[in-house]
Amino acid sequence: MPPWALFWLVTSLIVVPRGVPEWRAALFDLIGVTPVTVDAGSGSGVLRLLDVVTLVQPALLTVAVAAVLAAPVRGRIVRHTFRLKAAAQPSLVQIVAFVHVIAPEVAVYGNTCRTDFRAFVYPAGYRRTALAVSGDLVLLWHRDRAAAEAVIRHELSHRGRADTLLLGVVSPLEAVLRRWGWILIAFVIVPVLVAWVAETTDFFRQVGAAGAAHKASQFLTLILPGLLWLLLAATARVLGAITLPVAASWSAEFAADQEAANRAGAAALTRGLATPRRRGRLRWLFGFITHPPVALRRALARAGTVPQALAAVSVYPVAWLVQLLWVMAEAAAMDAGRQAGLAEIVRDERAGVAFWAQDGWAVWVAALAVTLAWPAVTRSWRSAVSTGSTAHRAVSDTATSKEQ
Amino acid sequence: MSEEIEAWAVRLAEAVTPDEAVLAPDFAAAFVAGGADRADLFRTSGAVPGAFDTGGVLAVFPFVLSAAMAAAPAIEAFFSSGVTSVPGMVKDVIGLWDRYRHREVTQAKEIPLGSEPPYQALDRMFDVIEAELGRAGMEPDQRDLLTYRIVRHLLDDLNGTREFIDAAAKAPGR
Repeated sequence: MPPWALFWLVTSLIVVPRGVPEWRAALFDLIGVTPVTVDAGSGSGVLRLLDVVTLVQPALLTVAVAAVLAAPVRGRIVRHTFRLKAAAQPSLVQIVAFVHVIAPEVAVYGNTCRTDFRAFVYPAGYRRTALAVSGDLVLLWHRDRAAAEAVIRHELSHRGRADTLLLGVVSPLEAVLRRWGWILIAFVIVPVLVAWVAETTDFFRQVGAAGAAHKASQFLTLILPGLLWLLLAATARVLGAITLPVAASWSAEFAADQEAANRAGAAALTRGLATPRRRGRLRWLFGFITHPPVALRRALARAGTVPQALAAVSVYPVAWLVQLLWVMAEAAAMDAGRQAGLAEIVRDERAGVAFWAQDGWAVWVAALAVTLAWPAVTRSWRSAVSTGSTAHRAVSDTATSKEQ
Repeated sequence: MSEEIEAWAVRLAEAVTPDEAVLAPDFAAAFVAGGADRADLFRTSGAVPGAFDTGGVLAVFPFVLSAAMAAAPAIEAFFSSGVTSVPGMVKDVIGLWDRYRHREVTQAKEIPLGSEPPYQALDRMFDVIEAELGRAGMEPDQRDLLTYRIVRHLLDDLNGTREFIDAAAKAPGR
């Protein structure tokens, strides 16, 4: 499966120069380099904070690049954050022995007191991988050994595609989305309201209390709807920015599921996925940033490895269409915010779609070429990004055939 | 953590959440250690990119320990209320459990709450433990069953219970 996270990162970096003028203008405006226009009113300075929303996209890209470049540091942070230790607990020692049959070079660390995840791989260097194991996996190991082995095989399959290195790009997206409500309040709602209050105060000084009705009407018919459209546009812009990396993460999960189902069996993988949920709705929603819905993964596992492979290949291209919807939503919200008519909105949407197609075709051709060429370069890619993963595949294949 | 607490935790887990008995010593040690170790037991982090995350799975036994700890004042009150025969009282737990489950019907007829301090303390123990399990998000049916098993085991294994509560009380909270 092509490493779509890398594809997204590379194609995003290629088009960075096109976004630079807008981002530079927003940054200069935010830090006060650009002077405030003379007739902007006493509260207009605070509106500079709106630029933060524009800068979220380049900030995400910068952090994503940093997350990949600083993979070894990220590994140490993960180990510290999750308080992972070398295996001492007897069941954990058994798990380590199983992992080392498949992948002797993978270091295994655990925290048996955490049960809010099962296992994950993280970078122990640019080409080295470590596996983190939780108490929940230990419990599964005792309840259902085959399901636990499917989970481990799923995790280990990530390392052969460099997911360990690349999926760090998704972490910042989740962090931003979790705080998106607060970001909107701090950098959109508060500045707009403060600027309006300041401007209203100036107005009252000039015309007195007689202007109160006019200002109240202005707030209800202009400021409030404008603010709502601005919030929608900003949200659509951020969702459009994260759609492709999220799809890349989903593709990696589908591919890992396929490999686990191939080696451990679809039934074992399905059981490994079948666990109770005990989290709030928002947490459940944020979970989709890094993982496809469990119900979908289980359905694909039951359907067979071909549908799993198709899902892994197609989820990223399909995400372009989803991204188009966000782009259209942002454009419509911006138009509505400046009280454009329906005809004008439709005209702008048509132009937007045409621009999207014109802008995207080169990337789509590149994606198609990568997809077609990928089977030929998979082996080289695996040996390039992971120490010993090709040899481990052979060991794993042997182990699987012996099991069968 | 003492070997007695470890053995008590294993017995409690075998009685209440047998599936999790294998990790009972680890969970009990982390709970008694307090601070970040105890906090780990109750974490509900977001998904980890690339992780085999299946939706915020949590073990039940940490909440059992938490419930036992929360019931500590009720347990103390129970034993300072003039109970002379713990084995006899353990048998009575079954009767009390029936009364607790159908309290609207039986409260007035059989054993009036408040008239007998030991039962009052036991009743409070049920309430505290059930509330603690409720905070963990358990379904009422599961909560009811676990509450009964926990109360029965805490009283049945009194020395271990007291040692666990004393040790956990000294640690920084979660």
